[in-house]
Amino acid sequence: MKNLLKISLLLMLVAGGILAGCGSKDDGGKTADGKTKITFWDENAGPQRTPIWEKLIADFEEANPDIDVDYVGLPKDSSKSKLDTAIAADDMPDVGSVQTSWLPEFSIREALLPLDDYLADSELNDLINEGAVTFNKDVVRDGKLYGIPYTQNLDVIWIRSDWFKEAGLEAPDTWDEFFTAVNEMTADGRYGYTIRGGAGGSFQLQRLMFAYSGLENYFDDNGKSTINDPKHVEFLEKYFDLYKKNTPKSDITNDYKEMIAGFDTGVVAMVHHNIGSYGEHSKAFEPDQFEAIPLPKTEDGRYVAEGGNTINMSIFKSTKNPDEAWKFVEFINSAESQSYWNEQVGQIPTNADVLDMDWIKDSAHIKTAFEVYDNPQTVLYKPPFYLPDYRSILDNTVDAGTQKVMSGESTVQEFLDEWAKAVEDSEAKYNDAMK
Amino acid sequence: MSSKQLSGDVKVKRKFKIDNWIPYLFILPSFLIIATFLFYPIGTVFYYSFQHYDISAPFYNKFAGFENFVKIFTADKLFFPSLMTSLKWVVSQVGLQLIFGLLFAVMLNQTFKLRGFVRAIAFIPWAISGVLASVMWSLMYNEHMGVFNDILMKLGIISEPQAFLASTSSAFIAVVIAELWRGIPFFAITLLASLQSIPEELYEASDIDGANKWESFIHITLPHLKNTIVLTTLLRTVWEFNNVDLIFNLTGGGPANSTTTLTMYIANLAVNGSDFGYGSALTVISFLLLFVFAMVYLKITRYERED
Repeated sequence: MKNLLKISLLLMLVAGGILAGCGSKDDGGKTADGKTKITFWDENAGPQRTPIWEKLIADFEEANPDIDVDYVGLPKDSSKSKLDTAIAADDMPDVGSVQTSWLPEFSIREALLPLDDYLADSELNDLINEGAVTFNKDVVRDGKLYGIPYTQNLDVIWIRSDWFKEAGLEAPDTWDEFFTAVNEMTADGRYGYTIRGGAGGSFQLQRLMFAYSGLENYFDDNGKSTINDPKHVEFLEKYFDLYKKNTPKSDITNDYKEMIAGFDTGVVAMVHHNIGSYGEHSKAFEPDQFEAIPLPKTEDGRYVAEGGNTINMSIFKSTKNPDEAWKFVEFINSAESQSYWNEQVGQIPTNADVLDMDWIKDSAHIKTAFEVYDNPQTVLYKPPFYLPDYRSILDNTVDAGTQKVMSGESTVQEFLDEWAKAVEDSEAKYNDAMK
Repeated sequence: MSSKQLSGDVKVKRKFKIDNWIPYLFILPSFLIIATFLFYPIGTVFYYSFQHYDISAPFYNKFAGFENFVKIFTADKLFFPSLMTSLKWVVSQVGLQLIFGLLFAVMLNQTFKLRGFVRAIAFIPWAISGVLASVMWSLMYNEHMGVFNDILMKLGIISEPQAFLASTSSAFIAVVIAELWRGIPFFAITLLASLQSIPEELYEASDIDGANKWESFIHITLPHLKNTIVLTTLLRTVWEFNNVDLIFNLTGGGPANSTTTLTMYIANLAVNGSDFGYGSALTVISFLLLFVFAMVYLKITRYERED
């Protein structure tokens, strides 16, 4: 009997220890001193953006002493998969910084709280850029608003204006001028341009292709993809022809870091990225040495940009404190916070009250972006963000396909046909599942 | 038999039983931990390999039967090429690491000045983390500022800078060299330990019998090292097969999939594609491949059997 007792005691100890390790306390999101705690996940943490968030959170906590915001920074490359896992495990943050391209998927998975009513009752209602808000509603299946856009971005070409001046060249306005400029700028151990052949290159390639072709839709009426349109083939043949002739050899594995380093160390004259890399360039150059120009116009003189190039503040459905979460979302979207965030990062605010501020009027690259967005002829094409494997097609099929073309293993036509087939298959599968 | 005797017998029996259980109780905690963190995850991989399971698209999730496996062998354009790359990777890594590791071990087993210091230096690459090593190597291979280009240009071997990691013909070799640098110390350490256990008398005896250095290496050193070699090569094969850190950081499997090993392919599928069902099926295949390999390898090398 004694032994049995010993054994059961031991077993209880072991089991208790294990259970204690697994257990979690449900505190309803309160801290020890009675404050309401909300968790915020940043989808692009790093030395540049984390301090900005920390400052804004400190300001928010000062204005709202009863709310405690817990900042969690996720590195850009893995933030989507971390959020995916968190949603699957039903262990989501209260508030998150969410890219517009993720909204359709997250809303189908019922991870986000609709914010239409919150916005309607808020002072922000008429201030947030209407186009961006409408796009967010259009892009999801149920037409609801799942994120308040707090920043807008635009792809541009950064050029070395001092080199252009020396050579007596104008900044390119059309694609022909672009290819000529790349050629002219390649001299004296310098390259005219640099191609992003490595990670993330597919997203940029797509924006260049549509900027050249002027096509507005990703699929035609018969469900056929426009990716392998003859215009896109024509463009990529010219574009990849620049590789090695006018660009560094290592471009085939170029990712963001290397590409920007090539420009900022004076190896290349032009680089395609977005206005968000302003901070990096301004550290490397004097203001008169570099500038941002829009992606060249189509043959019929229109700018084309990708729709949904915004980042949003979203509230996750599992939150126990939606009102406190909304307060934080509202605070980040206030004129003051948006102005601070966007000025530091170098992107476009969406709050109308910020647009009159001095730093906006004084910064050339933001003006360039407005020039494109405000132009009534500008086309915003809509990528199929709703396809669950949209991103993995770009990351896996397109990035590898780009490298095959650059290394001469396949032709542009074969590459685009493969890409088009991948999105068509995905579209068919999606339509089938959604029937 | 009296009743007293009988009850005494029963008591002895029961006590005996409980004592039998006590040891199991002590190993229970470690068993539970291993079961939770090893057996359970392995089991789920097998389970998910028969499912369509994509966490970013729950509406596609359903039982798949053998569909994932059929797709691997019939429709997947990357499976066989990446398996071939894995094979090339493992054979070149394990083979070269063994040869160079043995060479280093024999050298470090000699007596010379500062031996302890040189031994410590030789093992440093093993102690450097994979990410740090890949940053170092990617800087050394860099087209614009890499030290390799500088040296080769100065020696007049190449006339213009090369992008070693950016060409489908040189990327694989470049990654192999980097990993080789990191892997040699493992063989050197284990073989050196084994070398030190060979009795000196054997060499003296063979010396008296008139054997030269090479003969005593073949007939004394190698047979003594056999078990260590079999075990280390087996371990290393499994590790190198599953190794992604250096490839992931140096080339990401590129350019144009020329450095995509099977494990790299699976990592990409899980990280970028979140297609865990298909990724699990590929993992099951590589698990079975390694399992069969280990069995066959131990059998044909007659591990731990005296001939």
